[in-house]
Amino acid sequence: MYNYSPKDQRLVEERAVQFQDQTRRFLEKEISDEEYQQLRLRNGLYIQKHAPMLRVAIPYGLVSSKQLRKLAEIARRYDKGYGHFTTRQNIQFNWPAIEDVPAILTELAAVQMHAIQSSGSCIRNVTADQFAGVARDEIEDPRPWAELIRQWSTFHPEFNWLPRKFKIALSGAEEDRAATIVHDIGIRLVYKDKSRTEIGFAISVGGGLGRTPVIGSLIKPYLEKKHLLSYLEAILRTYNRFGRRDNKYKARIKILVRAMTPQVFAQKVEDEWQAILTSEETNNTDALKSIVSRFTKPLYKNLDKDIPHDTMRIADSKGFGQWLSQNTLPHKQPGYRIVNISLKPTGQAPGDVSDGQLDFLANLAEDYSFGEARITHEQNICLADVESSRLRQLWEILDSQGMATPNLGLLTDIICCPGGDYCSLANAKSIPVARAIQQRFPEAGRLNDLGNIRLNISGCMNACAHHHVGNIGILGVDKKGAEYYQVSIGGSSKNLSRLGRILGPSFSQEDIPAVIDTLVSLYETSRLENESFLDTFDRIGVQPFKDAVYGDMP
Amino acid sequence: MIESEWQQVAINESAGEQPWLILPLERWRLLSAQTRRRTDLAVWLDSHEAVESIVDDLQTLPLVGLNFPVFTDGRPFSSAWLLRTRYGFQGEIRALGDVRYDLLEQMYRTGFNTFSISDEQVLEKAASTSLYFSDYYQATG
Repeated sequence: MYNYSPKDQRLVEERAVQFQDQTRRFLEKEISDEEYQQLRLRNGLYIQKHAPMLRVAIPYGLVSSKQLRKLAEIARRYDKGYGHFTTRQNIQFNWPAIEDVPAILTELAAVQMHAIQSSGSCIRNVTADQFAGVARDEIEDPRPWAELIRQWSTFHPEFNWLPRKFKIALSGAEEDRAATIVHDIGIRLVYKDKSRTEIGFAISVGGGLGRTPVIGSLIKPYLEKKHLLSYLEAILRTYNRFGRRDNKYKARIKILVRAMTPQVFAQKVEDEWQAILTSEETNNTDALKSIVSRFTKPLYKNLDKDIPHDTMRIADSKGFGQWLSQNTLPHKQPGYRIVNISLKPTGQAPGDVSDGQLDFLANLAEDYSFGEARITHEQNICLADVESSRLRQLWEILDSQGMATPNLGLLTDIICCPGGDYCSLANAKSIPVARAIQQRFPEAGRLNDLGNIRLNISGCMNACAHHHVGNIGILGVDKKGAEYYQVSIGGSSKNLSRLGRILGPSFSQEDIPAVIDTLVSLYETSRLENESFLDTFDRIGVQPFKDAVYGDMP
Repeated sequence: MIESEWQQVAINESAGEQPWLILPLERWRLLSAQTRRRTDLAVWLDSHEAVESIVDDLQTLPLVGLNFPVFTDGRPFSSAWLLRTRYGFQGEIRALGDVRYDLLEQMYRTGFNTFSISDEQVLEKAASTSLYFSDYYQATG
């Protein structure tokens, strides 16, 4: 965990006091709805369909047992006993009262948490690889850099009123698990050259989903580490000054990059950056050092080697074996494994957790993983540092609480936004669609046989569930007042990130499970040995899928 | 909190060259080099107007006004920051237009040092309270 400095602590406390004052003035009608809206959004507070929604930031997804217990307490006291993890590693509470929010912020501040800039046209909570620090393919741990960016972007005096929201993601590994290329700024730690001695950053800009999905453009293939913040400043200043403000649908940085062309935009940023380098003190090396010193490091035991995966499987029950191979991953430290806890059992809204589950997870994190957990982009929870020899025990405890669903990465591990059940922006419901699909695939055997297939469901164009980059994407649309669903296939948020292709006319809610079944059945019968869904799609193209789905239709 | 002697001239408002006027950029550009050096005339920029257009006058300008057409338009923050850090402007930077209480601290931090406020309630609040934050992660302009 990153432990707050006295200054970090003071700032979140002062923010709670500020928000209390702003809320009081709103309730006493000293400030208008319109003004308070902007102020509350910069603190993650939305006014939703049924009640306000408060989005609490979980920077780069890292959360401690103590913080999980506080979230449980907030869910109990101020909500209806549950929270919802988002694709940006945050947690949302759907039922707090506006007048309670300042008190919630004070409670959050007591455990080094906040809701600062979790919405609004400003730099949002920074996200990172959920397996940071433990992944075998890691070049460098991105979390200290993510924390540096969190601090730099918090109450940035120049960049708090941007043309539109602004999202930054970091990855430090060979595989891009943070989907950096579909962010306003994507940052990857990379080797300078083949000698693999020097590490710096590759910066992409202008990626994003929403109503105009775009894959970002690499504008700086290699940036020295000490220049990270000055370079970000140059990008943000260019965007703040020249981004469109006349039309909110054209206000994201991706539109500016496209209008200028990536080459011209890159040059403009380069010129601005050179000017910054001559006029400001910009080296971020010292700030980073102090941040690194505030991160606790797991005290790993010196375990000789891994217990062979196969031995563990054979020795134990089928349920454990399935969970082990599907939900756990190799760790860079010998004798440890990364454990993923699926929050996608059939029948539960994807990403939802109850207060009891939060407390339960807090205890597990404490007992099995140095008191830390991570929220993943896939809306699951990860215990990153579990001793291999204790996996069986952990599985039994999870299984007893119905939290050992072995579907990580499988078709039923659906990424899903709150949709029309909660969100006032949504065109259509998404949670019931997810549930119906899960119910269509009840057998673990078939799911496992299908292998990893990423399915994403967004209730509207805002694409909170990233349907464009799902292997199968479902988008809720409004067709003359009725809820319909458009299906796309072939998207990916991995290294070779790309957007899915829309199949054709949209479907009613009842039709969706059968449509998904038809798509994956075609994959089952068409695939060559070991071929993934995406590989098969690439080989046979979109047409056979269209024919299978629409073939019988007039 | 003072009654300012400076008076902002709107885009289409007629005004002579009497002292203590803050002129729109278009009008300012039409003035002779000599008039632009008067210490009782100033210029204001709208949020879309670049500070680069007045850099030659910054040595002698007593005041630069930066207009917020709406309080959600964040461009004047970049303008103020650039005036202070890149172009070394030492004079007064005045916030004009839709100046709201909750943005004053942020304005101050980017280099604004005077604020044109006509709303009585905002004035009262601004006069009676202090800054919300005791420290920042970023430098102040």
